[in-house]
Amino acid sequence: MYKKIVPQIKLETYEKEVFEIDLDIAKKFGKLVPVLQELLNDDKPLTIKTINSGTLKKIITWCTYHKDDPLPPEDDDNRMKHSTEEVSSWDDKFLQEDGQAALFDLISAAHTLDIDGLLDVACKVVATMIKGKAPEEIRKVFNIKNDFTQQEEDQVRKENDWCED
Amino acid sequence: MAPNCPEEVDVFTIPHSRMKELVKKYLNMVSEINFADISHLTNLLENLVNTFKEFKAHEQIENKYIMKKLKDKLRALSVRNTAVCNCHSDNQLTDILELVQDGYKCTQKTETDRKNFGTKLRKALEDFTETFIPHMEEEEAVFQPMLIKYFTTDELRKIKYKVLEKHFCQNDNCAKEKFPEKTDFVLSDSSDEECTEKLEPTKEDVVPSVNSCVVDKVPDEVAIQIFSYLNPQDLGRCAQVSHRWNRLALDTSLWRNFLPIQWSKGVWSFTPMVDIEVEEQSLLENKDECVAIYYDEDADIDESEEDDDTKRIKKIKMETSMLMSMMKYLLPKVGYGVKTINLAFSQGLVNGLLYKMLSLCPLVENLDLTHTRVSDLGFKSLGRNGCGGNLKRVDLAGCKNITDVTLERLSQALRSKPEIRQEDCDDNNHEEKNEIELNEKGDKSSKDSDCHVTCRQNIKEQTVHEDCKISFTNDIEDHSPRMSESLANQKGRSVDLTLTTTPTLKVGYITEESPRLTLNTGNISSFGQRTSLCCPKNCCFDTASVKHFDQHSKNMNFKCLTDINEWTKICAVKHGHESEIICDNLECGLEYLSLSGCSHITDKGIRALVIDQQTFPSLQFLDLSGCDKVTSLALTDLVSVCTSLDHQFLYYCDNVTADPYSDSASGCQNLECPTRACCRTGC
Repeated sequence: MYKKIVPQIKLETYEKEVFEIDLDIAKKFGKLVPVLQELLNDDKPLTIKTINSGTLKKIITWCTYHKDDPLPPEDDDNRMKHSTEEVSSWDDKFLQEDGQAALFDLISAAHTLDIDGLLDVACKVVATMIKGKAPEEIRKVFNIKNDFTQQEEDQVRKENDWCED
Repeated sequence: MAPNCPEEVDVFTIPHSRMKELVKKYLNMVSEINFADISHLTNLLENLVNTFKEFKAHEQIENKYIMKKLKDKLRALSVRNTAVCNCHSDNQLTDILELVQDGYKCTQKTETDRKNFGTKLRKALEDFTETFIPHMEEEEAVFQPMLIKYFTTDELRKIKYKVLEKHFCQNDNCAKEKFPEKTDFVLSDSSDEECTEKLEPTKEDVVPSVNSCVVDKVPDEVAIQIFSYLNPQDLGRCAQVSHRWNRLALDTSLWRNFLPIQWSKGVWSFTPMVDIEVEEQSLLENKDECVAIYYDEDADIDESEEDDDTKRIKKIKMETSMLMSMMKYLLPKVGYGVKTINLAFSQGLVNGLLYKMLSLCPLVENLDLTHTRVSDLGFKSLGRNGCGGNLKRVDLAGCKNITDVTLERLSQALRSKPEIRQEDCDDNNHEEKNEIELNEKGDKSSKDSDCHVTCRQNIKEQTVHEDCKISFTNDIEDHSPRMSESLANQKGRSVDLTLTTTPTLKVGYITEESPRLTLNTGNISSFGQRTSLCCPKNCCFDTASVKHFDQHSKNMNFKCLTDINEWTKICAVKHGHESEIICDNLECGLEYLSLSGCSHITDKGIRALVIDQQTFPSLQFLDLSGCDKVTSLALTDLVSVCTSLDHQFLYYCDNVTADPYSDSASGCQNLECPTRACCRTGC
């Protein structure tokens, strides 16, 4: 038996930790793929300072789990359909298990690395956290500072009273 | 401080230093206070409530985010440790909080009672302090080393982050919720010098490394993607959260579909879900009642109607008040993004509302007013400032009040093209800014010196009124063989980009705002091999052109980008020579027109549509059923300019004399329909 040689690319995180990623997993990295491919024969890793090791680990786990998923549909109609699909329970658990800060780190990283599928589910998970909540509850959930003055808040409430039955 | 504990994994010290300070503070207060004085006592009690709530929260956070993790870990490793199992019961805290609550009753009682209470409280607090301080020291001395032993640095860093974050939130919420007027008490000294002492740490000091809100770190485009999974009701609530959320939730891109009628029924969705059969049925039931509801838009909602108990009136009232509120507050912000307005079967819709709605949503493409009471007045805004120029689908079936005037307005609208929003074209600063951006980008994108940017500012002015065709037809090879970028941004109108002899067009950027983009690729073979075209997701391409494009340019990279926001302000630019601009009138894009049952329509209205050689090359559906005043002459005039209309989708009254399309057209659709006019049923 011989081991199949899988091409790997190297990414360096904020903590200067270097990760080796199989190319068939890295193919999820949308617009980065061509850049990464060029790096294949290079020993120096690509440094992505905005991503920390924990987040990159999660991303690799996600991409590995989803590596055989079909590519998202290109045309708008199907994309719309795609976007209303439910988040799978695996994804839901995976994204939420480390808390909000980690989830948002993951979202920023997915955005940076252009991983559409991950960004998509992560955004849906956040949207679920918003759904059905009153403004004050939303502030609490995400620890958002209410930067309206009392007067502004009254005005804004009045402007949006159509959304309350 | 735990021995040999690196700062980054020390999960206890920072919160504990705050707790210790609080302890010191209340001990001072209690020792100095005069329990006989009611105001002093009340003040003390309030402070104590805050302080102990914070203690309690602190213990809960430690339990949840540190001790539980430690326990789990130990269990997983099958390590038994009694200290971990029997810690952190917060009964004592609860006791003190109860005692403090009792104290409030004392404020109503005699001086002696208060003094007695004071002694009791002092004792209780001393007892508490005696256990609380060692408890914290134990945590630092015993648990911290255990944590370091069983967890990795990374895990501990996460725990610390979490713990600090939670403390921070707690602080904030606790202070805000319970004693808004005393918010600053725990953080700085209050006005009462006697019972408080200075506490230096501010919020930032307590939690130095924690960003208060993780959501605010997310870039706008991602936040908007998150919001795109929300329904209109949720968006309305998000708009009340903060300034940033307000701006994001009311981003025009989120409001493409405006479906207020189903929203008023509680169906909060951006997907149309009206059950037409049910609506028609209810329409039939209400037909004979003929309850005309006139709504005075300036009058107060509750007083404008005498109180009728029927559900129907209530429903109409609700619908109308919602429509009004949206029109007043929502549409001015999001109207420019609205592509679909569906007001079908609305019972509260009146002309005034429709008029304002249309003028606030000039870029509307689909307009569904099936079975509404509107008449010509409601369409007054069509054609003004280009309003309605993008209309593709107009469904006026069952709008029996409309006459030829509406069609005249519709015709006018279809011949005009929406203008750029005032703020975008009047502001000279924008222009300047654009040029700077272009230069910057131009420098970045191509390093060779002979590539210079020419921004034709008047492109903008010209395109305000006309659809334009930007052609790069001049020979630019001698000057700049690497014409590297062409940009086109047209707010809300079609852009026709003709790339005829462009030698090596590398990148064409077309922004999100260009809804209808046609690529006339001309002499394709002259395209270089490194051609790529980037466009945002929702930009529509004429597929034939793209195919053409693909076939002829080998390494064509056709890709969708979303993050090219920086380009949206840019109008049109090319590197090298001035671009030649050819403006011409594009044909109108109307695809669907239903006037079924609009029995007042006559030949005059139909002819108004085809005035000035207006053609309808995209029209695929035309329903004139029940328009029994329309003769075959006008009908022929209209149908003859609808070049792609399959007569299978052409409907008109069967009684037309000298029926011109009797063999091919589909006849009248209203024969079986009880709600819309037809010459046979005589409705």
